[in-house]
Parts: sequence; C-alpha cells; structure tokens
Amino acid sequence: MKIAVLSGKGGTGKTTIATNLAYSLNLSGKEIQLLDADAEEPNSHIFFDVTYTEEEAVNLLLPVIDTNACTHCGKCAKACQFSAISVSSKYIMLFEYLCHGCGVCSMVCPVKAISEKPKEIGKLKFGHTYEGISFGEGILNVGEPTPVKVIRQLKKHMISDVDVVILDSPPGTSCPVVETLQGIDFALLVTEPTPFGLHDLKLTIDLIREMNIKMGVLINRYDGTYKEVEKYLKEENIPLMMTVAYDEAIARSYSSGQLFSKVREEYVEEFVELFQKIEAMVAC
Amino acid sequence: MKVMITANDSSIDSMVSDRFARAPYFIVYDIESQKSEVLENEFLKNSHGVGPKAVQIAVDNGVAALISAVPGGNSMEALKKAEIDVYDGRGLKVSEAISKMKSGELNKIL
Amino acid sequence: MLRQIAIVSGKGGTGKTTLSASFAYLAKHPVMADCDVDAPNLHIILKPEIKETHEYIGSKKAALNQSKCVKCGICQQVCRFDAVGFDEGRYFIREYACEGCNACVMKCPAGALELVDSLSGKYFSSKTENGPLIHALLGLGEETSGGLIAEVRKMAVKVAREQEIPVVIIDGAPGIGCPATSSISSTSYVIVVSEPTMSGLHDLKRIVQTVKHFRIPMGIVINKYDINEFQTDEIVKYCEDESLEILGKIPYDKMVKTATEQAKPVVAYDSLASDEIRKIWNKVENIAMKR
Repeated sequence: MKIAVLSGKGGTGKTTIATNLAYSLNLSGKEIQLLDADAEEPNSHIFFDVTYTEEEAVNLLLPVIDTNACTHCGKCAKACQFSAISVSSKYIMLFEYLCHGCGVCSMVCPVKAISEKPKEIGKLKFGHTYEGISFGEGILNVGEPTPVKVIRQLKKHMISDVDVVILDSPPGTSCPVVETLQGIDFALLVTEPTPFGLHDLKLTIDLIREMNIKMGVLINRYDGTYKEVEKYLKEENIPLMMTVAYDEAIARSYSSGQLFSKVREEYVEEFVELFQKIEAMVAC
Repeated sequence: MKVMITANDSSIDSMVSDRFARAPYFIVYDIESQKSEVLENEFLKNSHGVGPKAVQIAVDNGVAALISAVPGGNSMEALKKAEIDVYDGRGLKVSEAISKMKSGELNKIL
Repeated sequence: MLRQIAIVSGKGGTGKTTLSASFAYLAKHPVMADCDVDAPNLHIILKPEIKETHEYIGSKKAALNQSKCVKCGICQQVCRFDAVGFDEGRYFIREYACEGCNACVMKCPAGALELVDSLSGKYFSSKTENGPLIHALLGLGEETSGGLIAEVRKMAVKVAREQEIPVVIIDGAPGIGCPATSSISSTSYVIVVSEPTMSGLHDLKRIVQTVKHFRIPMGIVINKYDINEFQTDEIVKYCEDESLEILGKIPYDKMVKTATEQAKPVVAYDSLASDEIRKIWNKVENIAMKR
C-alpha cells in the first residue's frame, strides 16, 4: 500500500500528519517506510531520531564546452529551448541554472565541442528511525529550480515488501506533486478549516481527480467553527477520514519537534482506524 | 555603431520599455546611417530564460550599446561578456533616448 | 504618473497576502495584481467578479502523431525526463513530465513528433468592490512561470491606464527566482515582508539583494515581530547596517486569525495589527506616491 500525504499549500500540517501516521501504524505492528518527498523543505526527520546509513547523489548532466574546439557557429544556442547557452563571435557561455540537462546542445554540435559532466542538484538519504521505521528523504540543493528529478529518484527506492509506504508530498499542485503521485494507491489530503484552506483543497482535489487516484480528507486544527470544508466534501461526495483537534498541546509538541501521538496517545488508535478505512477504500 | 532600444511600440516615437527582455519590440538603430530596424520580440511570452534570448538578439545584430530598463542578473552577466554597454532609458521616447545617449546625458548601468 | 508597488517576501507564508489585502482597502480603489500565481489567495478576500478570461501559453511540449510512429523507441532512449511511456503496443508522451527540450523531435526518424504550444494557465481581469483585480491560475501540474506574471502585470497596467487609476499594488511571488524577479522588475517601490524565525533573516537578505539589483527603493515590514524578539533585533540590526527603512513592526494578533476565517482584510477590524498596517500604508503613500 502506497499512501501520499499532501496539502494544497504549505503550513497545513501535512508533515505532522505523515509522521504521526507512520509512527502510529508502526506501533500497531505494521512494517512502514516513510519517504519525505518535500525535497525543497524536507522536515519529517525532525520528528524522529534517524540513523542514516546510506546517501546517494542526484545529478543532472551539464554541458562542458571545449572553447578551443568551439567554432562559435551558434547551433547549440539556437537548439536550446531554455536559453541556457549564449554564443557570439567573441564568447560562448552557459547559464547553469537555466540548463535542464536535456543533452540537445551536445547532440547538435557539429564539431563535438560539447561533452557532459554530472552536476549534483540534490541528494537522497536513507536510514531508519529509533522505532524501526525505514526512512528516506530527498533534499534539493539551495538555488536549484525544480525538485522533480530528486523525487523521481527517491521513489525508485520504494520498498515493495513493506506493509505501507507513506510519502510526505511537496505542497501545491505543480509538477513535483504530480511526480510524487505517480503510481500511488491513495492520496490523503490535509487541510485546515479556513476559506484559504478550502480554496487550496479544491485545487488539490481537481488534480487528484484528473489523475484518477482514490482520496480522502483530513481536517487539521479542527475547532468546529468553520463548517464550509465539511459541507463541500459532502456535496462532492469525498470522504472526511479524520479530524485532528485545535489543541495547544499539539501545537507545542510540533514546535519542539515532538510527535503529538506521543502526547495525545488516543490519536494512535485514530490513525490505525484511518488506515483501516483507507485499506477498505483501496480494496474496492 | 549600432544601438538596440527596447520599446513599447514599433516606432521611434514610442516610449522606451520599462521591461528589458519582456519588451514588445527591439529597435536596432545605426547611428552612422541613421537607419533603424524594428524587431518584434518573439520570446515575449516564454515562461523562462527570456533575458539571455534578448541578449542573443542584441549580439546577433552586432549592437555595441543597449538602451532599456535594468536587465536581470542572467542578462547582465551575458551583456558583460558580450561587451555591450547598457543605458537606462526609462521614461524617455526612443528618439530622445538616442540623442541623449549621443550627448552623454544617459545614466550608464553597465 | 502610474506607480507600481510590489509586496514580496523571501519565502511564502510570511503574511504577504494579509498585507496586500489590507492595502487594497486602504489605497482607495487601486488596481490589485496577484502575482503569486502558484498559490493565488488575494481573490478569496477581495471576492472578484471575473470580467475577462485570457489563456496563457507559456511552454511547448512534445506531441506524438501515432499514425506516423514507427515504434523504434528512439524518443524514449533520448528523453532524460522519463516523459515517453510505452503501453499496449504504443508510445505516448507523459505531458506533465515533458520539459519541451525538443530532443525526441530532433531524433525521431519518422517525423512523428513535434513541439506544440501548451496551455500553461489562465489570467483574469476582474472587478471588486475596491477596484479592479488582475489574477491568474496556473494549470494543474504546471511549473511556476515568470511569463504568466508578466502577463498579469501588463494587464494591470493596461487597466490602470484605461480607468485612470494612479496605483497598481502587486502581491508578489515568494522566493528570489524568476517569478519573484518578474514581480518586482520596473516597479516604483518594493515592500519586503519578513518574519522573525530561524530562516527569516537569511530569506530577507536574499530578497533584499534581488531588489537592490534592480535599483528599486524599498522598505521592510517585520510581521509577528513579538513572537521572537531576539530574531527581530537581528533583522533590525541588519536593516540599520544596510540603511534599509523599517516601515513597521506588526504584532502577533489573534484578530488576524479571525479575519482569515472570515475571509476579510485585517484592517476591517480594530486591533493592534490593524493599527500598525494603517501606519505602514500611510508611510508607503508618503514615500512611494510622492517620489
């Protein structure tokens, strides 16, 4: 079973839910792998005592230009769809951060003046938590434009024989999220009960529907005052899987990097029930 | 010597654009022959990397100077390499900007 | 003369939209431009009525003509983005993964592939109680785009000229990349919103450098300054060293949460945060509008 935990935008508590779900299911005897795919801000590790055992680089192939061989014909600059190469009679220059590493420039160079070298854009780290959860995370280097490749490579490390793989997805509805959702069995959408939360939730729901993945919603910081989220879910026939109360103790546990299921033990059982609901939905 | 001016419209009486790479038109003006050529910016709507594309247009047309707004970081780097001078022409008509550049009254950015 | 004022931050979630929405009310009928096209939120508070919708085509993607395809698989070999799939005896393009690099088109021996325009988003010209709002929505699975932001800003300037409105207020894209740059270039004044958190000063420095590059005058706002006075002091010290004006310090205020739940601007309520936001706007008017 592969579950992605996602949210319309940052700050709704997506990581809090992913980590507490992993902790609770592990406690109930399931074998768990938690993968943090929010490569621009991987925070899941904060909530666990992780022993790292492996590391792997994520590379992009960047062009290397042999300026002695270059005839300044300009074919590479014309062929590059990303304006990453500029050529004149006097110079040839590469804008590394515009380069997507597609290889087209070396393909078109008539004098083979362009070779390629790997450039690290991020890395993957693997290990296990103190509780025995298999853990992995993707980390995008600062200044790199897109985490898609990091996520793609991270997902190749999904373990097929664990009971549950939980993916902490990046926020939003852009390409990194689509990459995370490929081949997932269930999408758990975390939202908060505000007009902003509802707005972003709707966008996420549109995306999940387009990708034809089964989904359910969890409302975080729920205090019962704003009812629009529940109303909307009912209208759209999307199951509300669980609510987590607005609770000072939970907020405090978060700010000090603690799992709230350790402070509020009743949630362990709730997360286990949540998982049973997910299993039932995926089975049918 | 040729100068490229980023412009809001296709005539020499139009205003200098306050965007560099996302200007609608590039006017290439030859100071000696006083002839100008108008290029439409075909990359205007591209999502990324328009700066280097605009610099490439300047390079391909052999200009020695550019009159525009302040170009972005990528563009500046390329303009420096290409040894193209950059002048701030915001708030002026294209024709005014050219004569002010000739008389040394324009603020040089690069 | 038309003034364009941008509100930006080095990172999302610092309260940029909260401030922008309040300025929409305080500025007496400005043109508002929501340039945070990744997560546009201004319309939730301003409740616009959409007048015009425009399509934005900002990228190209490979398209495969099945009738010409000879199933050689070269496209799949040359693609570095896993964007060519094979299923039920045919190759197909995974559009979300295609970056439009053209490699497959160049290498296809049968001429079955071409790059075609792809709809990347939409932008809207709308009317609100407080004046026009120009906003956008990026297509699902699309990447953020400076181009779409440029279209939003162009439309905002056009509307301002048509309706003789002297000010455009821009809710900028967060970060320091292409979208942020596109939000601030050629504005008259930039307001940088920062927060006293662990990464707050670092994020502030990066965006300040970007604004400096474009030689645009700016002022700093510290939001929720009292949640961490130590970090606030660090920010203040940095601003003094760099001769940056601090426009105001907004306190943490429960009324902000209430306003958010009601989808109203903070200045619709009387509170400490609201008072400070009013003071900040008065300063901005004095500095930016009279320059």
